[in-house]
Amino acid sequence: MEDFFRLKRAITPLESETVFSLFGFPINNSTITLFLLIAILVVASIVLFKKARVIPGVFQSVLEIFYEAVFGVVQQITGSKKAAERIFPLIGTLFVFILLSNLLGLVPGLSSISIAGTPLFRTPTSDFNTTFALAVAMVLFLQAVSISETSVRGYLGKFFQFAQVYRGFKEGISSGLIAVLNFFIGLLDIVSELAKVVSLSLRLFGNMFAGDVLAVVILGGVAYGLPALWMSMNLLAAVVQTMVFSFLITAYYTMSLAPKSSRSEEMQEDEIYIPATRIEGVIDNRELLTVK
Amino acid sequence: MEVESARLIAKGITTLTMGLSAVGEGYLIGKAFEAMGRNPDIQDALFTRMIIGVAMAESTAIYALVAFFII
Repeated sequence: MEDFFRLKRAITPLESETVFSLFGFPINNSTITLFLLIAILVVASIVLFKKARVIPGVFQSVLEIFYEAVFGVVQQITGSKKAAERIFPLIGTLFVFILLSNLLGLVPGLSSISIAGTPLFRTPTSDFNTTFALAVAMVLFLQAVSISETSVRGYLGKFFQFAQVYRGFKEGISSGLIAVLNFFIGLLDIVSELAKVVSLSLRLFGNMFAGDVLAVVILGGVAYGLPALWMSMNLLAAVVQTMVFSFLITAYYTMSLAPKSSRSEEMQEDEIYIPATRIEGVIDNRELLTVK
Repeated sequence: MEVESARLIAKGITTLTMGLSAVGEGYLIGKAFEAMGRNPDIQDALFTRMIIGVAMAESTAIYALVAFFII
């Protein structure tokens, strides 16, 4: 009678299991799910490319809505349309890839297909290797952007601010001490780059892995009704985590552009430029109080 | 003390630390509601940004969850 209400299954392990080996290279179940995802994306792209029309049908309009939404947010974060158009191929690809990876783990029935005891499919982003690879690739890309905007010397100068210390001490002792403080903060920026890798990868991995494990635990408790609540919560978490990952990379990209180049483009039609005005002098309060 | 009992105690301590992130998230959501009350025109944009902010503040709790599964 107890078994009627529950569905006991083994908790998904922290590392994904090897299904088979190919020339000594182990193929895990998350890799197989990634191949499935790539196959779905390729087929969908071919079909959409052949059926694309200037006046869109239903499916194409939905895709255009998504495109406009993501592009709007990227434009808001980067602040200018030109920078948004430069970074958008990367951010859009990242968004689609992570969104479909997260959602593929929620398709019912995929995790029960098993070969010789090990499950055949597993959410790709619930494997720490996938998220770590994505985070490292993105952070290396950000360093490359920073090097290409300024030179290698400018890039190293952000972390080791010797020139600012020299200039600060030339001005005076107090500004020299502030420059020494900024020097140590610049050294801490190296640690913050590593922290970006750790935080990005662990956030995505933790959300997806915890979703898988808690689904098994809840199914072991009550198998009717309650897992549906958890599945909807996991659906929200899947979408929110892709948004957080993609838009965080966009924000880091905007910060790693040299400050002058994010302002140096000409005004687009939709931007308003308010020049910085300097107000000098003191407003005498008594003048405002008298009634003329 | 045996290893198993020490491991269980460590698992319990990692679960306790997630409570602090709830305090931070509650503060963030309260501030977002206050801003929505001041300016009801931008409610949708504020709500979307708030969800992203909550996901950011949740990340420390997620690190604790990962540590829980590793221990």
